[in-house]
Amino acid sequence: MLFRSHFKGLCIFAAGYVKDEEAAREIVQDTFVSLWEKRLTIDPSRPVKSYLSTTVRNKCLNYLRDHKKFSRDLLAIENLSYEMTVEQPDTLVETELRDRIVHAMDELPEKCREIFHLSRHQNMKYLEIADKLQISVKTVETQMSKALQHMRIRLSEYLPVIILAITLSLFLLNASG
Amino acid sequence: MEIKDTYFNDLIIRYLYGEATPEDIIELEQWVKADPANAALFTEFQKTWRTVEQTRIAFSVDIDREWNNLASKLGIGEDDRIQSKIVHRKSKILYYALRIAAISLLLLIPAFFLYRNFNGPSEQQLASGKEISTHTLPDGTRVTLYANATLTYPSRFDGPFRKVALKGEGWFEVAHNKKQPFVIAAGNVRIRVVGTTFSVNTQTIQDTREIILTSGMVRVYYENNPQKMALLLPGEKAELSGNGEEITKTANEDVNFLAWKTRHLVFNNTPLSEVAEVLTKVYLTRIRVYDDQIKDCRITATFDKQSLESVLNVLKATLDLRVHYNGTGFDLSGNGCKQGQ
Repeated sequence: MLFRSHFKGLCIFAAGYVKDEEAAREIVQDTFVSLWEKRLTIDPSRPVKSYLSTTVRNKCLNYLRDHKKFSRDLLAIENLSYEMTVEQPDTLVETELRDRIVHAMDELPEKCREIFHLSRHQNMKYLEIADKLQISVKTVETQMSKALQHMRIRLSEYLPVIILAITLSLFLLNASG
Repeated sequence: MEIKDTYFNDLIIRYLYGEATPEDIIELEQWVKADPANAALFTEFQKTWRTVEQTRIAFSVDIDREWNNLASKLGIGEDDRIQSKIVHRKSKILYYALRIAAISLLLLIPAFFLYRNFNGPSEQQLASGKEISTHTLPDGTRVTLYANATLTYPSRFDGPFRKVALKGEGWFEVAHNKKQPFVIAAGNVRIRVVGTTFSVNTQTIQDTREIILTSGMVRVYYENNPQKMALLLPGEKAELSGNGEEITKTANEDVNFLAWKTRHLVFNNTPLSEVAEVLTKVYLTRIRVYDDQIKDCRITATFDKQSLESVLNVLKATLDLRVHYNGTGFDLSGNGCKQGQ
Protein backbone atom coordinates (compact mmCIF):
# COMPACT_ATOMS: atom_id res chain seq x y z
CA MET A 1 0.00 0.00 0.00
CA LEU A 2 2.56 2.48 1.23
CA PHE A 3 5.00 1.16 -1.32
CA ARG A 4 2.61 1.46 -4.19
CA SER A 5 1.49 4.96 -3.40
CA HIS A 6 4.96 6.38 -2.82
CA PHE A 7 7.45 4.46 -4.91
CA LYS A 8 7.02 6.31 -8.19
CA GLY A 9 6.82 9.71 -6.58
CA LEU A 10 9.97 9.04 -4.58
CA CYS A 11 11.77 7.80 -7.69
CA ILE A 12 10.93 11.02 -9.49
CA PHE A 13 12.02 12.98 -6.43
CA ALA A 14 15.33 11.10 -6.22
CA ALA A 15 15.94 11.35 -9.96
CA GLY A 16 15.68 15.11 -9.58
CA TYR A 17 18.79 14.93 -7.43
CA VAL A 18 20.91 12.16 -8.84
CA LYS A 19 19.97 12.58 -12.52
CA ASP A 20 20.08 8.86 -13.04
CA GLU A 21 16.98 6.73 -12.99
CA GLU A 22 18.66 3.50 -11.98
CA ALA A 23 20.48 5.11 -9.09
CA ALA A 24 17.22 6.78 -8.08
CA ARG A 25 15.38 3.47 -8.02
CA GLU A 26 18.09 1.87 -5.94
CA ILE A 27 18.04 4.70 -3.45
CA VAL A 28 14.28 4.40 -3.04
CA GLN A 29 14.55 0.63 -2.68
CA ASP A 30 17.17 1.11 0.02
CA THR A 31 14.93 3.60 1.75
CA PHE A 32 12.12 1.09 1.98
CA VAL A 33 14.56 -1.54 3.24
CA SER A 34 15.73 0.79 5.98
CA LEU A 35 12.14 1.69 6.81
CA TRP A 36 11.49 -2.00 7.31
CA GLU A 37 14.59 -2.50 9.38
CA LYS A 38 13.85 0.45 11.61
CA ARG A 39 10.17 -0.27 11.88
CA LEU A 40 10.36 -0.71 15.63
CA THR A 41 12.42 2.37 16.38
CA ILE A 42 10.77 4.94 14.14
CA ASP A 43 8.83 7.63 15.91
CA PRO A 44 5.26 6.67 15.06
CA SER A 45 3.92 10.17 15.57
CA ARG A 46 5.82 11.46 12.55
CA PRO A 47 4.18 10.84 9.19
CA VAL A 48 5.79 8.03 7.22
CA LYS A 49 5.79 10.22 4.15
CA SER A 50 8.21 12.70 5.69
CA TYR A 51 10.43 9.87 6.94
CA LEU A 52 10.58 8.48 3.42
CA SER A 53 11.27 11.78 1.70
CA THR A 54 13.90 12.83 4.24
CA THR A 55 15.70 9.50 3.95
CA VAL A 56 15.59 9.61 0.16
CA ARG A 57 16.96 13.13 0.15
CA ASN A 58 19.83 12.27 2.51
CA LYS A 59 20.72 9.22 0.48
CA CYS A 60 20.68 11.31 -2.69
CA LEU A 61 22.97 13.92 -1.17
CA ASN A 62 25.34 11.16 -0.03
CA TYR A 63 25.30 9.73 -3.53
CA LEU A 64 26.11 13.10 -5.07
CA ARG A 65 28.91 13.67 -2.56
CA ASP A 66 30.39 10.21 -3.15
CA HIS A 67 30.33 10.75 -6.89
CA LYS A 68 31.73 14.27 -6.48
CA LYS A 69 28.68 15.72 -8.15
CA PHE A 70 27.46 17.71 -5.23
CA SER A 71 26.73 21.37 -5.82
CA ARG A 72 24.84 23.20 -3.14
CA ASP A 73 24.19 26.21 -5.35
CA LEU A 74 22.78 24.28 -8.26
CA LEU A 75 20.55 22.26 -5.98
CA ALA A 76 19.32 25.45 -4.35
CA ILE A 77 18.25 26.76 -7.74
CA GLU A 78 16.67 23.48 -8.68
CA ASN A 79 14.44 23.80 -5.65
CA LEU A 80 13.45 20.15 -5.41
CA SER A 81 10.73 19.05 -3.09
CA TYR A 82 8.83 15.86 -2.61
CA GLU A 83 5.48 17.62 -2.30
CA MET A 84 6.02 18.93 -5.77
CA THR A 85 6.40 15.53 -7.31
CA VAL A 86 3.50 13.85 -5.58
CA GLU A 87 1.04 16.61 -6.20
CA GLN A 88 -0.82 15.52 -9.29
CA PRO A 89 -2.83 18.52 -10.31
CA ASP A 90 -5.13 17.34 -13.04
CA THR A 91 -5.20 14.04 -14.86
CA LEU A 92 -6.32 15.78 -18.02
CA VAL A 93 -3.31 18.07 -17.90
CA GLU A 94 -1.13 15.03 -17.13
CA THR A 95 -2.25 13.02 -20.11
CA GLU A 96 -2.23 16.09 -22.28
CA LEU A 97 1.30 16.75 -21.18
CA ARG A 98 2.34 13.19 -21.96
CA ASP A 99 0.77 13.49 -25.41
CA ARG A 100 2.57 16.77 -25.90
CA ILE A 101 5.89 15.16 -25.01
CA VAL A 102 5.26 12.23 -27.33
CA HIS A 103 4.29 14.70 -30.03
CA ALA A 104 7.37 16.81 -29.47
CA MET A 105 9.48 13.64 -29.68
CA ASP A 106 7.89 12.74 -32.98
CA GLU A 107 8.86 16.11 -34.38
CA LEU A 108 12.54 15.50 -33.72
CA PRO A 109 14.73 14.39 -36.61
CA GLU A 110 15.13 10.60 -36.83
CA LYS A 111 18.68 10.49 -35.51
CA CYS A 112 18.01 12.88 -32.69
CA ARG A 113 14.96 10.90 -31.62
CA GLU A 114 16.86 7.63 -31.69
CA ILE A 115 19.61 8.99 -29.51
CA PHE A 116 17.11 10.51 -27.11
CA HIS A 117 15.26 7.22 -26.95
CA LEU A 118 18.38 5.21 -26.23
CA SER A 119 19.35 7.61 -23.50
CA ARG A 120 15.99 7.95 -21.79
CA HIS A 121 14.24 4.68 -22.44
CA GLN A 122 17.18 2.31 -22.59
CA ASN A 123 19.05 4.11 -19.86
CA MET A 124 22.22 4.28 -21.89
CA LYS A 125 25.08 6.63 -21.16
CA TYR A 126 26.43 9.02 -23.80
CA LEU A 127 29.45 6.77 -24.26
CA GLU A 128 27.37 3.63 -24.71
CA ILE A 129 25.17 5.32 -27.30
CA ALA A 130 28.22 6.58 -29.17
CA ASP A 131 29.64 3.04 -29.22
CA LYS A 132 26.41 1.48 -30.35
CA LEU A 133 25.78 3.95 -33.16
CA GLN A 134 29.44 4.34 -34.12
CA ILE A 135 29.38 8.09 -33.66
CA SER A 136 31.31 10.46 -31.45
CA VAL A 137 30.29 11.33 -27.91
CA LYS A 138 30.21 14.95 -29.04
CA THR A 139 27.53 14.10 -31.62
CA VAL A 140 25.47 12.33 -28.98
CA GLU A 141 25.76 15.34 -26.76
CA THR A 142 24.75 17.76 -29.51
CA GLN A 143 21.71 15.68 -30.35
CA MET A 144 20.67 15.40 -26.71
CA SER A 145 20.93 19.17 -26.37
CA LYS A 146 18.87 19.58 -29.48
CA ALA A 147 16.20 17.26 -28.14
CA LEU A 148 15.82 19.05 -24.83
CA GLN A 149 15.87 22.48 -26.42
CA HIS A 150 13.09 21.37 -28.69
CA MET A 151 11.11 20.13 -25.69
CA ARG A 152 11.74 23.40 -23.93
CA ILE A 153 10.08 25.31 -26.75
CA ARG A 154 7.29 22.80 -27.18
CA LEU A 155 6.42 22.53 -23.52
CA SER A 156 6.86 26.18 -22.66
CA GLU A 157 3.11 26.75 -22.42
CA TYR A 158 2.79 23.91 -19.95
CA LEU A 159 5.43 25.07 -17.56
CA PRO A 160 3.29 27.83 -16.06
CA VAL A 161 0.59 25.24 -15.36
CA ILE A 162 3.02 23.18 -13.40
CA ILE A 163 4.39 26.13 -11.53
CA LEU A 164 0.85 27.16 -10.70
CA ALA A 165 0.08 23.69 -9.39
CA ILE A 166 3.21 23.83 -7.28
CA THR A 167 2.47 27.19 -5.73
CA LEU A 168 -1.06 26.05 -5.12
CA SER A 169 0.09 22.94 -3.33
CA LEU A 170 2.53 24.97 -1.25
CA PHE A 171 -0.26 27.31 -0.36
CA LEU A 172 -2.41 24.40 0.75
CA LEU A 173 0.42 23.07 2.86
CA ASN A 174 0.84 26.41 4.54
CA ALA A 175 -2.86 26.69 5.12
CA SER A 176 -3.10 23.28 6.70
CA GLY A 177 0.09 23.62 8.71
CA MET B 1 28.84 34.18 -29.07
CA GLU B 2 26.98 31.38 -30.78
CA ILE B 3 29.63 28.84 -29.91
CA LYS B 4 29.69 29.93 -26.32
CA ASP B 5 25.89 29.55 -26.05
CA THR B 6 25.97 25.99 -27.29
CA TYR B 7 28.82 25.25 -24.97
CA PHE B 8 26.85 26.13 -21.86
CA ASN B 9 23.64 24.61 -23.17
CA ASP B 10 25.50 21.36 -23.60
CA LEU B 11 26.97 21.72 -20.17
CA ILE B 12 23.54 22.21 -18.57
CA ILE B 13 22.16 19.23 -20.42
CA ARG B 14 25.15 17.09 -19.51
CA TYR B 15 24.45 17.95 -15.90
CA LEU B 16 20.74 17.14 -16.17
CA TYR B 17 21.39 13.80 -17.81
CA GLY B 18 23.96 12.80 -15.23
CA GLU B 19 26.85 12.99 -17.68
CA ALA B 20 28.66 15.88 -16.07
CA THR B 21 32.11 15.32 -14.57
CA PRO B 22 32.96 16.90 -11.20
CA GLU B 23 34.86 19.59 -13.15
CA ASP B 24 31.81 20.24 -15.30
CA ILE B 25 29.73 20.77 -12.21
CA ILE B 26 32.14 23.30 -10.74
CA GLU B 27 32.20 25.15 -14.04
CA LEU B 28 28.42 25.12 -14.34
CA GLU B 29 28.03 26.33 -10.78
CA GLN B 30 30.30 29.28 -11.42
CA TRP B 31 28.60 30.12 -14.67
CA VAL B 32 25.14 30.03 -13.10
CA LYS B 33 26.28 32.27 -10.24
CA ALA B 34 27.93 34.73 -12.59
CA ASP B 35 24.74 36.12 -14.08
CA PRO B 36 21.04 35.91 -13.18
CA ALA B 37 20.30 35.41 -16.88
CA ASN B 38 22.43 32.27 -16.79
CA ALA B 39 20.56 31.04 -13.75
CA ALA B 40 17.28 31.71 -15.51
CA LEU B 41 18.35 29.68 -18.54
CA PHE B 42 19.49 26.88 -16.27
CA THR B 43 16.15 26.93 -14.44
CA GLU B 44 14.23 26.81 -17.67
CA PHE B 45 16.16 23.78 -18.91
CA GLN B 46 15.87 22.14 -15.52
CA LYS B 47 12.10 22.61 -15.48
CA THR B 48 11.71 21.18 -18.94
CA TRP B 49 13.92 18.29 -17.99
CA ARG B 50 11.93 17.69 -14.83
CA THR B 51 8.62 17.78 -16.67
CA VAL B 52 9.79 15.29 -19.25
CA GLU B 53 11.49 12.99 -16.73
CA GLN B 54 8.60 13.12 -14.30
CA THR B 55 6.19 12.01 -16.97
CA ARG B 56 8.58 9.41 -18.31
CA ILE B 57 9.43 7.84 -14.97
CA ALA B 58 5.78 7.82 -13.92
CA PHE B 59 5.04 5.62 -16.89
CA SER B 60 8.23 3.58 -17.03
CA VAL B 61 8.54 2.33 -13.45
CA ASP B 62 7.19 -1.19 -13.17
CA ILE B 63 5.76 -1.15 -9.68
CA ASP B 64 5.18 -4.92 -9.47
CA ARG B 65 8.74 -5.69 -10.45
CA GLU B 66 10.01 -3.16 -7.91
CA TRP B 67 7.85 -4.68 -5.23
CA ASN B 68 9.14 -8.18 -5.96
CA ASN B 69 12.63 -6.78 -5.92
CA LEU B 70 12.08 -5.27 -2.49
CA ALA B 71 10.28 -8.35 -1.22
CA SER B 72 13.25 -10.52 -2.16
CA LYS B 73 15.63 -8.10 -0.41
CA LEU B 74 13.58 -8.37 2.74
CA GLY B 75 13.10 -12.12 2.38
CA ILE B 76 9.37 -11.69 2.34
CA GLY B 77 7.36 -14.37 0.62
CA GLU B 78 9.67 -17.20 1.69
CA ASP B 79 8.52 -17.19 5.26
CA ASP B 80 4.84 -17.13 5.86
CA ARG B 81 5.26 -16.10 9.47
CA ILE B 82 7.02 -12.92 8.50
CA GLN B 83 4.37 -12.33 5.91
CA SER B 84 1.66 -12.44 8.54
CA LYS B 85 3.69 -10.07 10.68
CA ILE B 86 3.85 -7.58 7.85
CA VAL B 87 0.13 -7.78 7.49
CA HIS B 88 -0.12 -7.03 11.16
CA ARG B 89 2.34 -4.16 10.97
CA LYS B 90 0.52 -2.76 8.03
CA SER B 91 -2.90 -3.13 9.60
CA LYS B 92 -2.91 0.49 10.67
CA ILE B 93 -2.24 1.61 7.13
CA LEU B 94 -4.84 -0.86 5.95
CA TYR B 95 -7.28 0.61 8.41
CA TYR B 96 -6.81 4.07 6.95
CA ALA B 97 -7.00 2.73 3.45
CA LEU B 98 -10.28 1.05 4.27
CA ARG B 99 -11.58 4.24 5.75
CA ILE B 100 -10.68 6.13 2.61
CA ALA B 101 -12.32 3.43 0.53
CA ALA B 102 -15.46 3.61 2.62
CA ILE B 103 -15.63 7.39 2.33
CA SER B 104 -15.09 7.22 -1.43
CA LEU B 105 -17.86 4.68 -1.64
CA LEU B 106 -20.17 6.94 0.33
CA LEU B 107 -19.36 9.72 -2.09
CA LEU B 108 -19.77 7.49 -5.09
CA ILE B 109 -23.22 6.20 -4.21
CA PRO B 110 -25.00 9.57 -4.55
CA ALA B 111 -23.00 10.26 -7.70
CA PHE B 112 -24.22 6.98 -9.06
CA PHE B 113 -27.82 7.84 -8.28
CA LEU B 114 -27.45 11.25 -9.84
CA TYR B 115 -26.17 9.53 -12.90
CA ARG B 116 -29.08 7.09 -12.77
CA ASN B 117 -31.38 10.02 -12.44
CA PHE B 118 -30.11 11.34 -15.72
CA ASN B 119 -30.91 8.10 -17.49
CA GLY B 120 -33.91 7.28 -15.37
CA PRO B 121 -37.52 8.41 -15.06
CA SER B 122 -36.89 12.15 -14.98
CA GLU B 123 -35.36 12.02 -18.42
CA GLN B 124 -37.06 14.35 -20.87
CA GLN B 125 -37.02 14.15 -24.59
CA LEU B 126 -37.66 16.74 -27.24
CA ALA B 127 -38.23 15.61 -30.81
CA SER B 128 -38.61 18.15 -33.56
CA GLY B 129 -40.30 15.85 -36.08
CA LYS B 130 -40.70 17.46 -39.47
CA GLU B 131 -40.37 21.01 -38.24
CA ILE B 132 -37.86 23.31 -36.66
CA SER B 133 -38.60 24.00 -33.03
CA THR B 134 -37.14 26.11 -30.24
CA HIS B 135 -37.15 25.13 -26.57
CA THR B 136 -35.93 26.44 -23.26
CA LEU B 137 -34.25 23.98 -20.90
CA PRO B 138 -34.57 24.11 -17.06
CA ASP B 139 -31.35 26.13 -16.76
CA GLY B 140 -32.46 28.77 -19.28
CA THR B 141 -30.43 27.39 -22.15
CA ARG B 142 -32.21 27.81 -25.46
CA VAL B 143 -32.08 25.08 -28.04
CA THR B 144 -33.34 25.16 -31.59
CA LEU B 145 -33.69 21.74 -33.14
CA TYR B 146 -33.61 21.18 -36.84
CA ALA B 147 -36.08 18.68 -38.32
CA ASN B 148 -35.70 15.06 -37.19
CA ALA B 149 -33.52 15.94 -34.24
CA THR B 150 -33.98 14.76 -30.68
CA LEU B 151 -32.61 16.17 -27.48
CA THR B 152 -32.54 14.22 -24.24
CA TYR B 153 -32.09 16.15 -20.99
CA PRO B 154 -32.92 15.76 -17.31
CA SER B 155 -35.89 17.54 -15.80
CA ARG B 156 -33.50 19.03 -13.29
CA PHE B 157 -29.79 19.70 -13.73
CA ASP B 158 -28.14 18.08 -10.72
CA GLY B 159 -24.53 17.09 -10.34
CA PRO B 160 -21.39 18.72 -11.61
CA PHE B 161 -22.44 18.96 -15.24
CA ARG B 162 -25.49 19.94 -17.20
CA LYS B 163 -25.55 17.00 -19.52
CA VAL B 164 -27.74 16.62 -22.57
CA ALA B 165 -27.68 14.26 -25.54
CA LEU B 166 -28.32 15.35 -29.10
CA LYS B 167 -29.21 13.40 -32.20
CA GLY B 168 -29.44 15.37 -35.40
CA GLU B 169 -28.74 19.06 -35.74
CA GLY B 170 -29.27 21.77 -33.20
CA TRP B 171 -28.39 25.32 -32.23
CA PHE B 172 -27.56 26.09 -28.62
CA GLU B 173 -27.52 29.29 -26.67
CA VAL B 174 -26.13 28.04 -23.41
CA ALA B 175 -27.04 29.87 -20.20
CA HIS B 176 -23.95 31.01 -18.36
CA ASN B 177 -23.00 28.95 -15.33
CA LYS B 178 -19.30 28.52 -14.75
CA LYS B 179 -19.81 26.16 -11.84
CA GLN B 180 -21.83 23.67 -13.79
CA PRO B 181 -20.43 23.27 -17.31
CA PHE B 182 -22.79 22.29 -20.07
CA VAL B 183 -21.89 19.04 -21.80
CA ILE B 184 -23.51 17.81 -24.98
CA ALA B 185 -23.17 14.17 -25.88
CA ALA B 186 -23.36 13.56 -29.60
CA GLY B 187 -22.62 9.89 -30.10
CA ASN B 188 -19.06 9.36 -28.92
CA VAL B 189 -18.31 13.07 -29.11
CA ARG B 190 -18.53 15.42 -26.16
CA ILE B 191 -18.83 19.17 -26.35
CA ARG B 192 -18.09 21.00 -23.16
CA VAL B 193 -18.99 24.63 -22.77
CA VAL B 194 -19.38 27.23 -20.13
CA GLY B 195 -21.76 29.64 -21.77
CA THR B 196 -21.78 30.28 -25.45
CA THR B 197 -23.64 29.92 -28.73
CA PHE B 198 -22.93 27.31 -31.35
CA SER B 199 -24.45 24.82 -33.72
CA VAL B 200 -23.97 21.08 -33.67
CA ASN B 201 -24.69 18.71 -36.48
CA THR B 202 -24.42 15.04 -35.62
CA GLN B 203 -25.59 13.79 -38.99
CA THR B 204 -23.42 14.97 -41.82
CA ILE B 205 -23.15 13.04 -45.06
CA GLN B 206 -19.60 11.91 -44.28
CA ASP B 207 -20.67 10.55 -40.86
CA THR B 208 -18.81 13.22 -38.98
CA ARG B 209 -19.95 15.44 -36.14
CA GLU B 210 -19.75 19.09 -36.94
CA ILE B 211 -19.57 21.91 -34.44
CA ILE B 212 -19.53 25.56 -35.44
CA LEU B 213 -18.96 28.14 -32.76
CA THR B 214 -20.37 31.67 -32.87
CA SER B 215 -19.36 33.04 -29.51
CA GLY B 216 -17.56 31.96 -26.35
CA MET B 217 -15.32 28.92 -26.22
CA VAL B 218 -15.99 25.20 -26.30
CA ARG B 219 -13.94 22.09 -25.91
CA VAL B 220 -14.74 19.10 -28.09
CA TYR B 221 -13.43 15.63 -27.36
CA TYR B 222 -14.18 11.95 -27.63
CA GLU B 223 -15.96 10.36 -24.70
CA ASN B 224 -13.56 7.46 -24.31
CA ASN B 225 -10.48 9.44 -25.26
CA PRO B 226 -10.73 12.84 -23.57
CA GLN B 227 -7.11 13.73 -24.22
CA LYS B 228 -7.96 13.83 -27.90
CA MET B 229 -9.58 17.22 -27.93
CA ALA B 230 -9.77 20.57 -29.64
CA LEU B 231 -10.53 24.00 -28.34
CA LEU B 232 -12.84 26.03 -30.55
CA LEU B 233 -12.90 29.78 -30.84
CA PRO B 234 -15.65 31.86 -32.44
CA GLY B 235 -15.86 31.37 -36.19
CA GLU B 236 -14.17 28.00 -36.05
CA LYS B 237 -15.56 24.70 -37.09
CA ALA B 238 -14.59 21.28 -35.77
CA GLU B 239 -15.30 18.06 -37.57
CA LEU B 240 -15.00 14.81 -35.66
CA SER B 241 -14.95 11.50 -37.45
CA GLY B 242 -17.47 8.89 -36.37
CA ASN B 243 -14.75 6.35 -35.58
CA GLY B 244 -13.41 8.46 -32.75
CA GLU B 245 -10.00 9.13 -34.21
CA GLU B 246 -9.89 12.44 -35.94
CA ILE B 247 -10.64 16.02 -35.07
CA THR B 248 -10.26 18.60 -37.83
CA LYS B 249 -10.45 22.26 -37.03
CA THR B 250 -11.02 24.82 -39.76
CA ALA B 251 -12.37 28.32 -40.16
CA ASN B 252 -16.07 28.14 -40.92
CA GLU B 253 -16.71 29.44 -44.42
CA ASP B 254 -20.37 28.58 -44.71
CA VAL B 255 -22.27 31.82 -44.09
CA ASN B 256 -25.60 29.99 -44.30
CA PHE B 257 -24.82 27.35 -41.69
CA LEU B 258 -27.48 28.72 -39.39
CA ALA B 259 -29.98 29.88 -42.01
CA TRP B 260 -32.32 27.04 -41.11
CA LYS B 261 -32.87 28.88 -37.84
CA THR B 262 -32.49 32.52 -38.81
CA ARG B 263 -33.90 32.32 -42.35
CA HIS B 264 -31.25 34.82 -43.23
CA LEU B 265 -29.68 33.72 -46.50
CA VAL B 266 -26.63 35.18 -48.18
CA PHE B 267 -25.61 34.13 -51.67
CA ASN B 268 -22.54 35.58 -53.24
CA ASN B 269 -21.95 34.39 -56.77
CA THR B 270 -23.27 31.01 -55.63
CA PRO B 271 -24.13 28.37 -58.23
CA LEU B 272 -27.82 27.54 -58.49
CA SER B 273 -27.21 23.89 -57.57
CA GLU B 274 -25.81 24.99 -54.22
CA VAL B 275 -28.59 27.52 -53.70
CA ALA B 276 -31.12 24.72 -54.23
CA GLU B 277 -29.38 22.58 -51.57
CA VAL B 278 -29.41 25.42 -49.05
CA LEU B 279 -33.08 26.21 -49.75
CA THR B 280 -34.00 22.53 -49.39
CA LYS B 281 -32.41 22.47 -45.97
CA VAL B 282 -33.74 25.81 -44.75
CA TYR B 283 -37.32 25.47 -45.99
CA LEU B 284 -37.56 21.70 -45.49
CA THR B 285 -38.91 21.44 -49.02
CA ARG B 286 -37.11 19.69 -51.81
CA ILE B 287 -35.86 22.14 -54.47
CA ARG B 288 -34.47 20.40 -57.50
CA VAL B 289 -32.53 21.85 -60.44
CA TYR B 290 -34.14 20.06 -63.31
CA ASP B 291 -32.04 21.24 -66.26
CA ASP B 292 -28.27 20.74 -66.23
CA GLN B 293 -27.65 23.91 -68.24
CA ILE B 294 -28.82 26.11 -65.36
CA LYS B 295 -26.89 24.35 -62.55
CA ASP B 296 -23.99 26.76 -62.79
CA CYS B 297 -26.02 29.94 -63.04
CA ARG B 298 -24.69 32.30 -60.39
CA ILE B 299 -26.74 34.10 -57.81
CA THR B 300 -25.86 37.05 -55.65
CA ALA B 301 -28.63 37.98 -53.27
CA THR B 302 -29.56 38.36 -49.63
CA PHE B 303 -32.87 37.18 -48.24
CA ASP B 304 -34.02 37.99 -44.77
CA LYS B 305 -36.94 36.02 -43.35
CA GLN B 306 -38.57 35.64 -46.74
CA SER B 307 -41.03 32.92 -47.57
CA LEU B 308 -39.90 30.21 -49.95
CA GLU B 309 -42.33 31.50 -52.54
CA SER B 310 -40.85 34.96 -52.58
CA VAL B 311 -37.29 33.57 -52.75
CA LEU B 312 -38.27 31.40 -55.68
CA ASN B 313 -39.94 34.37 -57.36
CA VAL B 314 -36.74 36.37 -57.15
CA LEU B 315 -34.75 33.48 -58.63
CA LYS B 316 -37.34 33.05 -61.34
CA ALA B 317 -37.14 36.70 -62.34
CA THR B 318 -33.37 37.08 -62.25
CA LEU B 319 -32.46 33.86 -64.05
CA ASP B 320 -35.55 33.57 -66.20
CA LEU B 321 -36.49 30.19 -64.72
CA ARG B 322 -39.61 28.13 -64.78
CA VAL B 323 -40.74 26.88 -61.35
CA HIS B 324 -42.92 23.83 -61.22
CA TYR B 325 -44.50 22.33 -58.10
CA ASN B 326 -44.37 18.55 -58.34
CA GLY B 327 -46.40 17.58 -55.27
CA THR B 328 -43.52 17.33 -52.77
CA GLY B 329 -41.21 20.10 -53.90
CA PHE B 330 -40.23 22.47 -56.66
CA ASP B 331 -38.42 21.77 -59.92
CA LEU B 332 -36.45 24.56 -61.51
CA SER B 333 -35.88 24.59 -65.23
CA GLY B 334 -34.69 27.08 -67.80
CA ASN B 335 -32.61 27.63 -70.90
CA GLY B 336 -29.40 28.58 -69.18
CA CYS B 337 -28.05 32.01 -68.52
CA LYS B 338 -25.71 34.41 -70.25
CA GLN B 339 -23.02 34.65 -67.65
CA GLY B 340 -19.34 34.33 -67.15
CA GLN B 341 -18.45 37.86 -66.16
